[in-house]
Amino acid sequence: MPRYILKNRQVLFGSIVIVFMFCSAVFAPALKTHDPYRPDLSVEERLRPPSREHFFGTDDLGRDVFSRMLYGARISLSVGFIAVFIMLFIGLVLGVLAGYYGGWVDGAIMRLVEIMMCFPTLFLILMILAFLGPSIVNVMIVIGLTSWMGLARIVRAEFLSLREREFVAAAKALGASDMRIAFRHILPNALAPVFVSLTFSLGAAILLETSLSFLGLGVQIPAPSWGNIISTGRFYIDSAWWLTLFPGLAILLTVLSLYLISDGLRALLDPRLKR
Amino acid sequence: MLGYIARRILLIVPMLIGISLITFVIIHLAPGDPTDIRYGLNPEISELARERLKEAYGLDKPIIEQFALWLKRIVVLDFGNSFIDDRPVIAKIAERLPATLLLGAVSMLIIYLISIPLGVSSAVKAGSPYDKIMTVAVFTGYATPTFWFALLLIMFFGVHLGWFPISGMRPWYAEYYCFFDSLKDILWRLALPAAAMSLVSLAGISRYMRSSMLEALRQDYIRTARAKGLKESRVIYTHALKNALLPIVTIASMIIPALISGSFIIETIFAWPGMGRLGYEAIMNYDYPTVMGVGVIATFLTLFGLVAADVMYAVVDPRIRYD
Repeated sequence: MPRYILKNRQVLFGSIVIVFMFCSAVFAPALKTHDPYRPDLSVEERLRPPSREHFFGTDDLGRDVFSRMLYGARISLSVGFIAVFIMLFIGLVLGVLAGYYGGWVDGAIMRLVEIMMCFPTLFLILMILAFLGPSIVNVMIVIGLTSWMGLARIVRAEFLSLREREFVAAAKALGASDMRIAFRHILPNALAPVFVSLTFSLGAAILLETSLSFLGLGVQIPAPSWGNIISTGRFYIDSAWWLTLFPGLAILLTVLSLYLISDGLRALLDPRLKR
Repeated sequence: MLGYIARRILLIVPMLIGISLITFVIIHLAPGDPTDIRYGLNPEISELARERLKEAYGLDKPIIEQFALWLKRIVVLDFGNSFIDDRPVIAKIAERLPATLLLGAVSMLIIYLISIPLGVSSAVKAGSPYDKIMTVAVFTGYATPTFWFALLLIMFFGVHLGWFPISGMRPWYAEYYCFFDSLKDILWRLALPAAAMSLVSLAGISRYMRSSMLEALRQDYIRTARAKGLKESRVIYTHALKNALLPIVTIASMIIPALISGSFIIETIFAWPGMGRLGYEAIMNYDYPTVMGVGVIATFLTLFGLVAADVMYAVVDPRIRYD
């Protein structure tokens, strides 16, 4: 596995970027060059283009964009991770139930999946946030609640084929409980595709969070997020390009890396794609 | 096959009930009753609006009856009146829908026109440097935030070069245009929003087309075609492509939800007078009847799009025999 990562440039590139982003989020307090929250409304500090003093320029309130992006990485990454964790929990439980028990349980869960897939994700999330009120916690919960369907389908498909295997019959003959068979015997064998799907979903969740913050229903100002920095940039689109460009590149790089890792791992784990 | 199509269409009914149930749950998500939502913090919701919301959703009745009431309203598409201008929500949606459909249709056309050749050429040259570059390009497109891409388009083509208008669909003076000028003007204004809208799906669909084409190229009849000495171009463009294009019909099922989700962002950024922007503005103004109306209609559109794609697939592909 580690050798594969080094050999596969796609996974290598992705991993380096993700580690880099992760480190800048963790060490944000040490790396920041200015206070990301303190506004400086003097004319010479507002909307300054990138310079040695401010790597990525300053925003309309004279705050350093580079430092805000470091703190934005903390928020974007943690929202992504927690949302994916919630998604994992729901998708796993429903997928295991559907795949292990089959029959009407499967039917009911799959209908629910189909119905949920009909909702345009973004508007469903906006709608729920409109009623719940926007906050970081709500964003995490709502992204998790609206994006578990793909994972549930994958887990179910794995279970459907694995439950026919001999080791399951053996475990049953030994008198293992359903819970034990499902989670101790079958699940470990189904983890590879789940992991691939999780890396992909993490990218998608980060993308969603930035869209929501851009629309003003995600992370609320003054807390910085990549999405809401761009949202400010929208008003200065003809003058302050740095407000839009840099946070967007950060989102693009992070999400692209996660997608590349996911695709590389899928190729590794899928025997049909091996030459 | 007719039986299959009939059953597929009948399946819409339970799906609609499911959708109604989920939207009903969303209305009741807020702690207390829905009229309490941020009432204390939000001076924009007046006592009168609260009363009207209560009345609209029959909130004084038992929960089962409330759901029945909600179902009934959905069936007749009655979402009540907007809090903003007191006009029926469904009328507001109806006047905005054509703009959304136009934007969606043009984007879909662009997606198909670009992604099919892209996917096919990647598959034919699988493993080559060209294919590898395309793969990276596709992932980059997939990872690009739509709203950011839209802003970059505005920045470069709208502000910097000044080639395209950056907002709106019909300016006030469009009334004086003849039909042809009017059409030209709308297409010109469509360019940037449609480009922004297409990007994400472009990546996914060309990827899909590539694997579908690879699958077709692996089939026995391709070996047969080559063995009997057909020209390579004929093998690829007639024998393989025809079969690879079949599943692309169902692909609409991937594009439609993406287009409808995308319309909320794109229409807002480009001030496109469609349903997506109506929905977003309704959310920002706490106009709950409109929010629910747009949500339900957008979901219905997605569902009908998906069913239509399924039915088309059954019609197009003779191999499919659903018992």
